[in-house]
Amino acid sequence: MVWIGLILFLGGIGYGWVANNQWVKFISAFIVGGIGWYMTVVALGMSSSAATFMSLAWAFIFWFVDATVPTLVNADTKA
Amino acid sequence: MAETRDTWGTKIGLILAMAGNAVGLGNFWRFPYQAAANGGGSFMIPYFFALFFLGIPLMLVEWTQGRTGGRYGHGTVAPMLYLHAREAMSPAAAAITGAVGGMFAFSVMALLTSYYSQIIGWTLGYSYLSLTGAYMDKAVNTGAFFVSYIQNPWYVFIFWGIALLLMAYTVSGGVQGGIEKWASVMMPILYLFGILLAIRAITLGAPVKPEWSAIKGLDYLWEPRWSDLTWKSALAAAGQIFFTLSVGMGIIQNYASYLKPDDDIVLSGLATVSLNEFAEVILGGSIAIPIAYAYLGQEGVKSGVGLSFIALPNVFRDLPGGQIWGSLWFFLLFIAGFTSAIAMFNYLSAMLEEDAGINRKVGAYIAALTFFIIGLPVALEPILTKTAYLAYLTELDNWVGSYFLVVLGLIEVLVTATIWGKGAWEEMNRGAYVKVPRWYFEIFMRWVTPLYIAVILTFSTIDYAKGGYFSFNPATLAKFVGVAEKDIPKIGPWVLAARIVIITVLIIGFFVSYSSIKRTYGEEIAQGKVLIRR
Repeated sequence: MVWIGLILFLGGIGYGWVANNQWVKFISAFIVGGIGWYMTVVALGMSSSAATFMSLAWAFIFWFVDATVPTLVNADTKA
Repeated sequence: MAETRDTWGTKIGLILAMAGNAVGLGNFWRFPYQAAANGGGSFMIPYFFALFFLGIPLMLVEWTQGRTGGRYGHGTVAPMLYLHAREAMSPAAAAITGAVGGMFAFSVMALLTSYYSQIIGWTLGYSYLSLTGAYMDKAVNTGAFFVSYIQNPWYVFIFWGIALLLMAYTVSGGVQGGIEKWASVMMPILYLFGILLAIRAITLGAPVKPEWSAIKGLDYLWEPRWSDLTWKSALAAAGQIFFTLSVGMGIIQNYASYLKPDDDIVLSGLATVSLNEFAEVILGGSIAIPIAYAYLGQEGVKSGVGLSFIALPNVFRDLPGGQIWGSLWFFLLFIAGFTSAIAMFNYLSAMLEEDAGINRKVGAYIAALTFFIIGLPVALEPILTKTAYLAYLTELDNWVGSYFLVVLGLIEVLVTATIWGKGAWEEMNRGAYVKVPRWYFEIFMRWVTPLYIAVILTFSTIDYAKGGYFSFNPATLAKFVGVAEKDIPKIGPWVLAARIVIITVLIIGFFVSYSSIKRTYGEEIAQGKVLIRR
C-alpha cells in the first residue's frame, strides 16, 4: 500500500507539473496526489484524521506549485 | 534614474530570488515549534485561513507597490506608498503617510537584520561544528554547548562576520549579476537538502522507543485537536504568515521594483507564495518535528525555540551519519536565512544608491558595516554578561519581528487597496496572465484583509499592555523578556538600551523617508497637485 500510494502521489504531482490544462493539473496534483499521499501515510501508521488533514494540506500546496511555477517557467522559455 | 535601474534577467530567476526572500529561518525553525505549541492540526486551520485572507492579498499589494515604485525609479517603501496614496489624497497627506510607512520599513530592515544576521552566523557555525563533531560526545550537554557558543567571541564574530561579508559580496554584484545568480544556485540546493532531510526524517522509524516514532511526530503535528483552537493559536498563525512570507517588511516591494513595467505580478506573487508554502508546510513540517519526536518524544517536540540549536543536536549524535545530517540541517538553515537577509541588505543598498548616490558596490559593504554596528549589542550581551537570556535580541524581536510587521502591513493594504481602490486593482492586473477578480479585490483585499490585520493588532496591543510592555522601567521590561529576578540589575539596562535604539531608529527612519519623498516630489507637495507621472 505504501508503494502504490507513493506512485500515485509522485505520479499525480509530477503530471500536474507538466500538464497544460489547469483542470488536469488540479485533478492530477490535488486529487490523485492527495489520495496517494493519504494511502502512503495511513499505511505507515498515521491516524486517519491526521492523515486526512495532512493530505489535504499537501495536495493543496503541490497543486498550488504545479499551477503557478511551470506557467512562469514556460513564459520564460517562450520569451 | 529609472532608465539605469537593474532588472531581473529571467522570470524563474526572479521567482527563485523572491522565494529565497520569503523562505527563511521562519520556515524551518519557527514554523515547527509554532505549530506544535499551538495545537498541531488545529493551528493549521487558522494558518490556511490567514494564508488566503491575509498573506496572499498582502503579497499582491506589495508586488503592486514595488512595480509602481520601480517605474518611478524607487526601491524603498516610503516613495512607493506616496505614489499610491497620492491617487486618493493630497500630496502633503500622501507624503506623511509614505513617511510613516517608510519609517516602519526602515526600522524593520535595520533592526531585524541586526539580529537575523547573527542567527545566520550561528547556523553557519553549527554547520561547521556538526561536521567536526564538536557536540557529538554524549557527555556534552547541548544546552550548555549552545550557551558556550554564544558566549564565545571567536565563534560569534567569525561566523557572523563571514555571513555579513558574503551577503555584502552577493548584493554588490547587483540584482541580475548578484542576487539572481546566487538565488538560482542556492534555492535549488535548499530544496534538495530539504527533501533529503525530510525523507530521512520520515523514514527514521522508532529508534528509541516503540511509542516514539517519526510518524507519531507527524500525527502530533497534523491531528486536528479542536479543543486547542483558540484566539491565541489564531493570532500565532497570522503572525507566522507575516513572518514566513516576509510581508510587512518592505523587502518584497524592493525586489518587485526591479520588474519591467508590464511584468506579471499576480502569477509571480502566487508562485512566490506557493514555493514558500512548499518549503514551510511540506519540508519545514517534515524535518524537525518527526526527528525530535522519534528521539525525544512529545516533550522534545515542545522544546520551542531551542528545538533547532539544543534539541536536534541531541538527535544528530544518535543518528547514523549524524555529523553529516547535522551539518546539512544547519547549512539548510544558513541558506534559508542568507537568501532572506540579502533582500534586507539590498533594501539598504537601494536606499543608499537612490537617496545618497552611493555606488552599489560600496553601498553593499556600508550596509554590512551598518548591520554590524547595530547588531553589536546582540553579540556582546551574552559575551559580557555571561548569561544566555539574549534579552536585547528578544526585545528587538518582540517589537520589530512581531509588531512592526503587522503595523506596516496594515498601512500598506489600507493605502493601496482600501483607499486607492479600483485604480489599484487595475494596476495590479496590468500584464497579468491570471487576473485578480474584482469581487475578490473589493471584498477581501479592500475590507476583510485590513479588518483582519486590525483585529490582530488590537489583540497584540492588549497583550503587550497587559504584560506591562509599554513601561520604561528596566525591571518590568527585563521580566517581560524572561529574565530571572536576580539577573535584572545586570540585564535590565540591555533591554532598556534596545528600547532606546528602536525609538532612535524609528525617528531616523521617519526623517530619511520623508526627505526621500520630498527630494523627488517636493514640488508637487508644495503645489498640492500631481505633476510627475510615468
